[in-house]
Amino acid sequence: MARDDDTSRSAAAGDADRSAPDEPAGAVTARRRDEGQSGAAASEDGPDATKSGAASGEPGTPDDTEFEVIERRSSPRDLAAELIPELGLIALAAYLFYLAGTFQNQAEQDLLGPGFWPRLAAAGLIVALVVRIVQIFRERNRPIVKVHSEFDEFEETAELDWGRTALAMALAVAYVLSTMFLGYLISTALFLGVFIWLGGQRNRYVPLVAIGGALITTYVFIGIVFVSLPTGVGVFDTVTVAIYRLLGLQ
Amino acid sequence: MDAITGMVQAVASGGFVFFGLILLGVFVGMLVGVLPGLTFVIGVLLILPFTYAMEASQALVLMIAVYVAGTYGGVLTSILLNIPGEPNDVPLTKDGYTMSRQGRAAEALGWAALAALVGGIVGWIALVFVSQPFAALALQFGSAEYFAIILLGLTGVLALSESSTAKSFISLFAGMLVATVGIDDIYGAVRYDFGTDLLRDGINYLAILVGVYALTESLTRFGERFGGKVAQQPGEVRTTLPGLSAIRSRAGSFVRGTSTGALISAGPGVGSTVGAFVAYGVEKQFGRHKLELGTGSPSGIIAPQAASTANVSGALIHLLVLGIPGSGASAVLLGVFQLNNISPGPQIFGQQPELISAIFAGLLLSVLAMFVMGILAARPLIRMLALPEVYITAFVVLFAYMGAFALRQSISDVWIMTAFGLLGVFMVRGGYPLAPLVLGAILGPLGERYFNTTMIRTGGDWTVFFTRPLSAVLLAITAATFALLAYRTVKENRRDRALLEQRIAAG
Repeated sequence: MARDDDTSRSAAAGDADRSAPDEPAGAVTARRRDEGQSGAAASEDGPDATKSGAASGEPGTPDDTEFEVIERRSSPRDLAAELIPELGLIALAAYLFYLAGTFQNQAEQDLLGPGFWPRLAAAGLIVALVVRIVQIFRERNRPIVKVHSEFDEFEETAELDWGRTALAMALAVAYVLSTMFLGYLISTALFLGVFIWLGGQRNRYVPLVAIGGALITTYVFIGIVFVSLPTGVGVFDTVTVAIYRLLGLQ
Repeated sequence: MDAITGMVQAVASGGFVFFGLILLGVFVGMLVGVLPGLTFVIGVLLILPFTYAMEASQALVLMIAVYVAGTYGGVLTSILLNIPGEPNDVPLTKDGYTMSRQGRAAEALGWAALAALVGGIVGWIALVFVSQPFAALALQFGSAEYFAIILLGLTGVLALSESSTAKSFISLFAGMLVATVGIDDIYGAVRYDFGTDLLRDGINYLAILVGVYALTESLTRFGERFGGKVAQQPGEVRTTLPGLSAIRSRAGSFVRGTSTGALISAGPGVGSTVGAFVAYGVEKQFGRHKLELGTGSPSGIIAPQAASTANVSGALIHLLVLGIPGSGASAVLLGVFQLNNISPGPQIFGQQPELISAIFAGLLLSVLAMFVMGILAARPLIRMLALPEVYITAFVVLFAYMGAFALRQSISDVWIMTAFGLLGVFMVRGGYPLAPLVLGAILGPLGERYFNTTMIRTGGDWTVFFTRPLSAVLLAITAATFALLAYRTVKENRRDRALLEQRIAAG
């Protein structure tokens, strides 16, 4: 339900609230938390295993630190999957760095020029990405210590189904695209109906919500907020304008 | 006294519309706190397109009402259902829900409502009485000082990020780079347009905000099959305000929570979530009832809630006096100023006194309305949870579309919003924080403008940042923040190594 808005809370909550480095995709397959079993081993099955417990007065560790050790086995394929986005971004940042040198300076030539700030940002991005790649290599096959905090239970999120996420993304893109051809009104009715239906609500109210939602938002945004919404092309434009007239909209 | 007179006049001239907007804003703010998948930043973003036809003062008052009430709305689900409505509600959930399980839900809700009221009013007093003297001081600031403040804000975002430092930096620099697209306002050069009008006009940061907050959340929730904790309807929803003697015994918690929230918000980029967690930490460390915390203590509710609501005023002080947003929600408010061709900053107090009075009055009335509505409307708000989440999410996508489209009545902004919405999904799943991206996109152009202005004024003399006293002090604080960041990383690595060695030794 809650996702952090502007800043996160770990620093505020103290060291015990600091989580371990982010786990790469596919790194953790099995996890079990045995709270209160100080130093007790837990799962040993599978390529990645988790052990959990509480520290017991080691130097530099609070006595009541609850933590788990996530052992990882990263295959070359996992590593490649992790590195591809970072390497792609480095290439893009390097290209943008180069392009920044070509910006035309309309002002005095001895000033820093319009390319300075983008170059600074691109260089910073490249350096940060290189550091991240080094981290990926260093973290490979190295166990991760995940320290638990008293607020961990609120951080648990539902498992993401990438197929459904891709479907939602496709719907969002199709919606924007369709407004250019079908117009806002028709596209919105279709989008609401399909999104809600695919989202699991399959009842007789869905068409009502879809059509009603499209009509009401059209009326509000055109009639009250004075936004000029796309009406579509060809026959869709004709139909949309006819509905506008029925709604008393200009 | 002038401030009070101005506020009375603002309310009188605003009439019923003024009150109506506050009530609407408070209701929306509380609703987004209650409804799954929505945060108050999303609430402020979603109401943005409805404000385009309004006067600046009306739009700002409406959004401030959403913002303030959004810091409180989430307590209902936190206390009654153990589901934090907002990130800033997490620390109070432990004690709040424990009280609820002990049959003390009404008492817990009463403490939360009172804490929000006290935090809001103290924050409002700070806003009214601190912002004008601060603005007089800020008039002395030059571009070097502004650049140093922005640098401090960016550093603060990194220091408070829970993701790895490298990922936070990547997100920040990516945001700064994205913000350079379009025509540069100092040199007039076209940057990264790749021959397209879409990019030549620049990327409006509000489109990025709508994308990475509203659309990303909607797509993710759809991908998660709207799973997670199932919100059950609680048996009874009632609020009981504490008596005077009970309040007296918890006075310290009110003071610590409110002062922590107000002080924390003095750091640019530090939002109400950090304020709430720090206040909880302070209470646990120094509170008179510190041993009770976590077992159903009102102090565990009072401190974080008072801090959350007091924090809003701090963000407004930054925004009004310096023109620098301190959080996601105040960045949207900055967008409203810009859409109305108003530049917030120290001069605004002299140039737009009516607008400032309306904002002051709007904040106070929003806090009072939030308190009343929090007590009276808790039951109907909780009933809204019966609505399947997919309906809400579908309309969030719709309003995200509208929020981006109405910026310039252009489908280009919708495409930009959609692109960032999709990017946000991958970033969240890859463990890349979104806040540095957003604040990089917002503060980056401001930083560039002040940096270049300083360079032009001084003929390229870099030392000016260190020779001007205030700039030097701010840069020193920035350096100290970096040092703290490095120290924290080293300390955590050592701790992890020690824990690992202990585990190995234990077999």
